[in-house]
Amino acid sequence: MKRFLLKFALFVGLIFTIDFALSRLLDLGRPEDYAAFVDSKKAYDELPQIDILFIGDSQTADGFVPAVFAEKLGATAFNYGVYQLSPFEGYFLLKDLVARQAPPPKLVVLGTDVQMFHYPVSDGKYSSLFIKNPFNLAPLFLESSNLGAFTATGRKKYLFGGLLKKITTGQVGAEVRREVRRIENGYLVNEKHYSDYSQFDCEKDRGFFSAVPVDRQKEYFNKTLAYLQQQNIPVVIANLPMHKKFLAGMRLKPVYQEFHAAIAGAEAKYRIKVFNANHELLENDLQDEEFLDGDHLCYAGAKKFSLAFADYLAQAGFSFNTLTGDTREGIAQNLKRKQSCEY
Amino acid sequence: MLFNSFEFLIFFPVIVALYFATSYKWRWLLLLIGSCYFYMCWRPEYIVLMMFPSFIDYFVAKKMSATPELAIRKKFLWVSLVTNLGLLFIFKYFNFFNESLRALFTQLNLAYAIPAANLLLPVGISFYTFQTLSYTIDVYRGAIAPERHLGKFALYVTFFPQLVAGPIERSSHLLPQLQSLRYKFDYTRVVSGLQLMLWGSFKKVVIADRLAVYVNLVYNNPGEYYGLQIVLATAFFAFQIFCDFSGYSDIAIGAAKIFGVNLMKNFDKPYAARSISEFWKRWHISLSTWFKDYVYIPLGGNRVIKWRWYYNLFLTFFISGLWHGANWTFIIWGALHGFYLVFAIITRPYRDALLKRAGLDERPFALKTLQVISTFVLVNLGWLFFRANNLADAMLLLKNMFTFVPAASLFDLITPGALLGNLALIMILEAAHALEKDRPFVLSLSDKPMFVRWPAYVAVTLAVLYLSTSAAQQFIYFQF
Repeated sequence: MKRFLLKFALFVGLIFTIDFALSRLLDLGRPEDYAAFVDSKKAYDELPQIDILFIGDSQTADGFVPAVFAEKLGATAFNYGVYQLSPFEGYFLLKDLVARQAPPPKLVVLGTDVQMFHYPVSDGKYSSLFIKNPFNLAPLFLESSNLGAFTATGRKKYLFGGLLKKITTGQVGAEVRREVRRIENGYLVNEKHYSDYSQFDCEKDRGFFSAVPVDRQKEYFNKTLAYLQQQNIPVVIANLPMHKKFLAGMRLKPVYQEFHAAIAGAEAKYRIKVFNANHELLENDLQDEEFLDGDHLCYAGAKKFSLAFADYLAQAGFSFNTLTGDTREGIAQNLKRKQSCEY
Repeated sequence: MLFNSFEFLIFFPVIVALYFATSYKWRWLLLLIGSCYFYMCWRPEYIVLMMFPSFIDYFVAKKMSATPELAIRKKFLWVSLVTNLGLLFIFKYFNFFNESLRALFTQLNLAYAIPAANLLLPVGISFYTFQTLSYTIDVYRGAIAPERHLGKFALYVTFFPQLVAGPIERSSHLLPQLQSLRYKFDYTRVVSGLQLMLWGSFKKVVIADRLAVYVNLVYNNPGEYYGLQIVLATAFFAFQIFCDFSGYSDIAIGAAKIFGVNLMKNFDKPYAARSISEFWKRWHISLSTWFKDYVYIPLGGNRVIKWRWYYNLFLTFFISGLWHGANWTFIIWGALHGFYLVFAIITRPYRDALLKRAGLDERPFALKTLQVISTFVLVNLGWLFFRANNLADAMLLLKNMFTFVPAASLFDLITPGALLGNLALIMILEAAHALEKDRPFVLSLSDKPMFVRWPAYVAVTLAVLYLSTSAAQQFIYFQF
């Protein structure tokens, strides 16, 4: 038995060593915007106080500009939007983030995606890179039964294709979707706009979503709201804008009705506010070039949307005193300088 | 608990460590507790549903062995049959028959008031029911003596490696092994068990789950795909279900081996079969031999007049289809295989004459290739019904398969890179089969030098960890 245990331990050690090395190798092949995205969340733990925490998937990541909230409300805001973050993953990520800030955020904004209840229960893709407490990370593995998420390389396996391309052709690995100018409190300042109209087509299958709603996603969305209430953290649900062509197509789909029914249910049950409830805000004001693609804003659009949301928060009576008076703008600028870097 | 889950990754080493630390006398108890825990992870209360008929079978078997009178023995056998098949009917088939009757009554404009039962199908019910039935039937026939130890009999029913999806073990094979459990830690045996578990995980997680992505896409949207797209999805399903189920069996056999228990072989390169009859000697062997021993032969087998023989064959496969699930798609799948076998017997002289005329009887390689391909095609036609969500979908897929739509390109379903990748995985599987001699290819790795063995282990382990799809799929045969 000793011989077996020794060899088995050696084998496990070898697997972990190779995994670590491959994980580092993948980092070398990652595209620039991926690197910026992963780096952008590091600032979260360095900030002494966060007033507004934005959490959601890529629409949230691209939709809220923290600097706008600093300037308009004097609030320290942090955008923790994570690409392809489903409500299931979001629950564990949020718990992790709340525990990492003392005192906890004064307001949590749950950014939505009309298709978010159709995300499969997955290994977390990007989110597992950001959850630090193993007790929050473990459920992602347990529920998804994906052993790959347990390893460093397994968590970055979406970079396989890009690295392979880079090795075989010498070209940039994965597609760079966002041209990141700088990072501001978790937000990637991106001015790229796809002029290709296929990007605005809601029928295009991006392979992220299940054909049928995933009950567990609704369950965890509600669990998230219950958790925030239990922690006495106010919450606002914010529906992100979509390009009018994309929105028109989406409105005809059952997923749109399902989404609104689920949000209305949560709104009634937890008595929470929903911003841009019918997706009508700025529907005709946002121009093509203010979108990255059909359901993601670029910097210009995100600023416009963030201003509207900041006004809404002010009118709704939310007040934040972290950055006050004359220093508000200056502090906001300092904060921006401290927490940002040029790309 | 799934074999391909994080929980199992913790559960299994713990139970193995405890097993070898426990004295021989109490190992049955440890395995019984572990097996119950394994099953209760799914739905704790359903353990009662499994234990209740087991207790009945235990006492019925004891009573049967206590009397030489056939009439009394038969009465006890009926108690076992009614209990086991009754529970199977209630939980698995009641709603199906109820809905079928409702549809019939509606067609005849008659009132029908029996409501549907809101029952969850217990995982593995068809497997453990057949395993316990084989026990009582064997005791009734006098082929085996009844098990005197209730705990060891309970372990025979619940033994976790093969509890939920087989292989369906015979009491004469498994019970004697569970009686003593006097196995010392044997390095070679444990390594063989782990090799099988690793290879089974590779087949399930890497091959089956990846192919499932395209299969699900087509079979869940049957109206949106045509021609080659459906052909490819069906061929992928053939390999998906093989890798899924044989992967489970490999893990089960490997896990049992570590405890010193040998389970029966369940698959033997089924797609190398040259006829449907041979296919059934290679596919789900534990079930096909069960049907042969407990249904086909008691019906008279082939020692009857010709028409009765055909009927026996067809009925056996019809029931086999029903065993797989309460859905017309499974029944048609079973009936189709029954039809294939009867048709093969009837047409045998004509087919032989045709092959002779074509000169194929003198070209064995060409003949074998033709036979393997034609068997694979026939099996795939069956899989189309097996995988379809319902009969209407199956018919639509069948129609669309032969409908030419110029716009429906194969590459709308799958990118060229993904197609090559998936074909490469199938090639790896087939290469492993080609290298296989008297035992699974993976076991022959032990004879290879370390510089071959270890890289192979590392490569397969990393493939299992990295090449899994983002959402794991449940084993297909769990639903049966």
